[in-house]
Amino acid sequence: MNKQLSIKKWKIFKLPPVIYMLLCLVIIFSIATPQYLSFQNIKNILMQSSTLMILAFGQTLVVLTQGTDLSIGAQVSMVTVAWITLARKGVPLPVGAIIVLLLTSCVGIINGLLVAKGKMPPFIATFGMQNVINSFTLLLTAGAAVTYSSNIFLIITESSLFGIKAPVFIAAGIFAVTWVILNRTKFGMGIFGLGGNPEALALAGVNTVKVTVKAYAYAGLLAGVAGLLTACRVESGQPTAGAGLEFESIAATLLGGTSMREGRGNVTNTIFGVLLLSVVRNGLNVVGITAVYQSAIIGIIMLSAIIIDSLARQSQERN
Amino acid sequence: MSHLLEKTKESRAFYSFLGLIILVIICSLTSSDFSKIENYITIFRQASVLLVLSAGLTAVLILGGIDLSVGATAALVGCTCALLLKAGVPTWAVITIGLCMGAVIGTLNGFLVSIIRLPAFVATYATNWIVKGLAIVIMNGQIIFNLPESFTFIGTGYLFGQMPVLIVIALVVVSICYVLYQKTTIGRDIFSCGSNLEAARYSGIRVKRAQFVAFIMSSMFAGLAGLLMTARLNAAEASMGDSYGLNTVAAVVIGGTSMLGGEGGIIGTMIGSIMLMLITNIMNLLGISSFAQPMIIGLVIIVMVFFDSISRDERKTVRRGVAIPMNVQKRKDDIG
Repeated sequence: MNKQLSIKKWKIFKLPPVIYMLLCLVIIFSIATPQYLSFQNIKNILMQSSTLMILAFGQTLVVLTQGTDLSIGAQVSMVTVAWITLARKGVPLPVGAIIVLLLTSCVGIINGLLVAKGKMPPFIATFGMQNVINSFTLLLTAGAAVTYSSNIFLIITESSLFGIKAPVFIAAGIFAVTWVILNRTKFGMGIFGLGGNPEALALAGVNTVKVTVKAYAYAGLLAGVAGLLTACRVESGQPTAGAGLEFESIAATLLGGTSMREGRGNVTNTIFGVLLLSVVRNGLNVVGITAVYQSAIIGIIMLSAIIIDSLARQSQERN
Repeated sequence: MSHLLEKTKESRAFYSFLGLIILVIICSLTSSDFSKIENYITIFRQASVLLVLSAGLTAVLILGGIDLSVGATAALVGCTCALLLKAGVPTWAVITIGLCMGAVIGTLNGFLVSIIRLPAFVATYATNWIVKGLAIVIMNGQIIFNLPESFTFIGTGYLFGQMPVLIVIALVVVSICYVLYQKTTIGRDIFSCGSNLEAARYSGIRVKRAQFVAFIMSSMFAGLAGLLMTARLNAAEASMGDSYGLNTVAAVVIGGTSMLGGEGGIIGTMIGSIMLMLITNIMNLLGISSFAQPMIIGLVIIVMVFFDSISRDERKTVRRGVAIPMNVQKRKDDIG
């Protein structure tokens, strides 16, 4: 009886469980502190999550191909440092931006080739790449942060429409592009196929190597964009700006219900995965929980979200 | 004899061993300080901690899973034990408590993966946050040092005059793991689950038990590694597991254990850990800047695993007797 009730509920709503989890958290936090639901704070959450959002969109593509990209956090750091260093050497900011975007795309292509051509486990290939990039970043500035001042940074981070700042719109634009790529192109179909049944895809005459390489290159490109936004926000190049973002982006993707094995998932739900992480972070700060307790609480919330998601899906599949 | 030769060639650890020998030769040629016996002992001591940390992880990777929480587990156990030692709890009790804590964390991971059926990647990532968070909470930002000598003995002492206790412990761990993985039913179960989970389930293997054992081993040995770290440094802090990070996974995979599961072993992990520490050691001897070191380690990981994957692919093609299309990738589930 109880079970049937739950099936009906899922059938009616058909929404991924992460959304309910997100709603619960928002309600809890807004009861704890009334100003949590203020327009200002919502803007803050969106602003804070825009970088991770962009990274997670790229990561979603990679995860759908049964891979992981552990190098995108390092790529973000590299972009901030390389872009600022180039600017200090006299390269105009827009030209520098194109150069670093090409650079991260190339890193993505190498990742893709290692995975697809070299048949390496993605985890290890991109972990090796992460080390290489981190080293490159540190060597570039001998480990120090580099600064550069320009109006462009302010224009990009502070210009706003309806009170919402530009990075949020950039993230939204990238979401639209990613959605179209995944759902309306041959490449997107290839990505789902690679996750579902790579053998069948290859036998159907699709070049799996090309699809994999393109997915990693796209992740690299988006890491570049995220890096540029980060550099604008902190107005400097920080060699550790992106540390840990690779795992957060994977966690957000998986929280959004994208599967590492079955080519199932979509980029829309990744948004909610990212928001969940950002809402928790922001909420803990607004409510005033000290930093000491935060990682443990984030872990517990993350774990409960995944468990609920997994149990809901299993009960769905059983019927 | 030829059968034995075939078998050696089949073994993944054999290739890693060849790689290790080539590395040793290169290192001896580039630095005269390298070949000294004291230097070898230093390398082995450094490799011991990494080895113990990745010994149980090997089982999880053979199973086709991954454990991202080992570093945090080591830190939590190390910190708790340092606190207990400071409170005057006797050493033997502290070591027992430490190992039990590891087992509890492993049980949690095993529960999440086998009963709730979460992907190992995300389950252990979340426990990593929780465990690390607990370490931060109990330490509250402080560093504990000056531990009793009876405890630091396991990290810095010597047996029989010359033999560091740390190395002896690592060897014992390797023997335990070797027997468990290669000579027992449970070990064979772990291998079968790794090569084909569904087939293992249908052939009546107790899959859940195998998963629990692998994760408990992983966390328990991580706990032991935490004890060794604390004893060796004679200090504990919440972030002490971070420096090992994913190098544990790298050590296992360099040793020829497949991330797809079903293949590998502890001997390979031993070689992998020694190799990583050897590279760090020679870079320090040659005075390579600490900024450049990750690049070289990263490249070595990529190159080693690249050749490993290529040779694995060829062997698979030959052994099956049919040429499978080269662009067909056999990437199985359960990386995460």
